[in-house]
Amino acid sequence: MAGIQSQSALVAENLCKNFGALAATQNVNLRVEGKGVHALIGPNGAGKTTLVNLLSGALPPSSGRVLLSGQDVSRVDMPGRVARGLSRTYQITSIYPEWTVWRNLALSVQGRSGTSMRFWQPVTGERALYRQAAEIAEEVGLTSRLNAPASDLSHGERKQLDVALALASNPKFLLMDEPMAGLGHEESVRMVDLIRRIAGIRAVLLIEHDMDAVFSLANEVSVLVYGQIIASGTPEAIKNDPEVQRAYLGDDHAA
Amino acid sequence: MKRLLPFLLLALGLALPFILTAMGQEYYISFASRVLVVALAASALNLILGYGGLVSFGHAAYFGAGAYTAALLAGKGAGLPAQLLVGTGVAALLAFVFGWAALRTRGVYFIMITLALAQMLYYLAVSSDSLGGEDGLRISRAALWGDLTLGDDRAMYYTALTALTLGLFVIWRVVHSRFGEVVQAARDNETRTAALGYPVRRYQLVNFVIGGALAGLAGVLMTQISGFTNPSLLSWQQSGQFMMMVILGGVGTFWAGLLGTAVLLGLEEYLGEVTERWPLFVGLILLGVMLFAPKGLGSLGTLFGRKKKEVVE
Ligand SMILES: Nc1ncnc2c1ncn2[C@@H]1O[C@H](COP(=O)(O)OP(=O)(O)OP(=O)(O)O)[C@@H](O)[C@H]1O
Ligand SMILES: [Mg+2]
Repeated sequence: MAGIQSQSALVAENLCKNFGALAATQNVNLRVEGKGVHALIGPNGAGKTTLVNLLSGALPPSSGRVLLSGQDVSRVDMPGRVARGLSRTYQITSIYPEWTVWRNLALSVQGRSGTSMRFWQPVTGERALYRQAAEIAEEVGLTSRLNAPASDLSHGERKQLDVALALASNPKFLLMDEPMAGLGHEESVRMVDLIRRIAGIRAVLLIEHDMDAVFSLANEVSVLVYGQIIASGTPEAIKNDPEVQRAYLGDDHAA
Repeated sequence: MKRLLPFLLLALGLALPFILTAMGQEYYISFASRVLVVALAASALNLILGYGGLVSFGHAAYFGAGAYTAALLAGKGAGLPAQLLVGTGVAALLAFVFGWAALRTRGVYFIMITLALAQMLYYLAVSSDSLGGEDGLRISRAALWGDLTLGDDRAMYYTALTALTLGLFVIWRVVHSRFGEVVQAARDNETRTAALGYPVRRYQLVNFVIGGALAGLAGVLMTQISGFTNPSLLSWQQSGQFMMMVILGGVGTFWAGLLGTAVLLGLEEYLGEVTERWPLFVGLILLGVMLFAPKGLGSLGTLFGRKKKEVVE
């Protein structure tokens, strides 16, 4: 059983990342697997986004390894990791603002449906791409905005589109970097709902500041402070961990 | 209107020699050929710069490579098909090597490397005896069939028109294909495009090669128009002019190459006859366009089109 699990896990092994003198990631060991939400919490500047960058291949680690389904992918670039089932969203939404929502999504669907080294057939003739794009829009609640330029979307809708882009590759592992930042109450509720559905069939590493959302979604929580994981465990255990309360939750509640 | 435009332009292109003859301005047929061929090279740059977002400042290298290859082949007695094929191929190969090297970098470094590589080729041409040094190489015009050669203005014109039409058709298909979608995505948001699983550099390199190949094709025809080739075809001024044409026409809009070339070469030709200080006036006009239509002359059309549509709705 343990062997099978490690076959489909995203693992960080002694990951370190230095920016000059700043150790943004220090000896991080982390394991994301199966289904459900593994939450990563930590104060501003703790190195959460840096860790996502290391895991997704956006940044090379200073030392340590990233394993994806048992393979060392530390030297595999971002597209290579996507091909192996890893995908991510962005804290600062990263979309194609000049394109319609539909075209945004069709591009991302195109990535998982055969080669894109096709030079002659007009892409707009590929009904299947646009149909699947529409399905993803439906899933995240953007159906009514399919024909809008992405630059016309509200902040919340952009967050939804960002998540939808990452979903289109149908990843086994999804890294979500603060998908709820800046959302209104109603939008947050919908996003929590979406994350729950997403995590029903894949492993999600969720970075989030909203503790209610974290504790309602996660089956495991890791706490990152100054680049180090200071605690990892069930939501209950983390809530009651005195060190966590001192280093993080205490601050947060005081603020 | 938008759908009809290519056909209207083609009809105009086909009729132009007759119109010019009727007006007694046959001299301009050869000038028009030059516009068509340079427009092909500029459109190729637009594929790289406008759709791909890569500021290649060495586009003359591929244009010149096509031209020199054709001239060398012509000197060995090769016919037009061989010149076109090999000239295009050599330019493609060169674009592959240069593009591969330049695409290891980004931004201003990319600009500098494409420029530096092109300059290398320029100095090679200037200093090589077998390439004719400063003087370049003379050729005799390629035969088409019977006694007809590309020395005939009309034959040359229709050959150039065919090449531009095919070239633009290729660019159109490429831009609207799956591949073109990825290339444009990489221009707009490179990081996200990689995060969607696309090996961005590979797409950019292939696009760079397509653009280089088409520029090479244009270079082959340029030798046939002028009857010679010289290092100025490889110069950074030539690269700059291509870039100016694309920017003038409207970076990343389909007709930018043709529009920019027609306007810029037209201005040079017209002002050149009127005043010796023509470069000054060309510069001023460029400045005006950049100030008042920063998205290029093509944007004036869409501005107009949109206003009209709003009235209709
Ligand atoms: N590319 C970089 N170069 C230099 N320093 C960086 C870089 N990226 C991040 N840092 C620094 O590393 C530290 C961790 O940043 P990171 O963005 O990973 O934090 P975070 O936990 O995501 O914060 P937030 O909650 O604000 O999103 C910060 O001090 C940041 O300034
Ligand atoms: Mg962050």
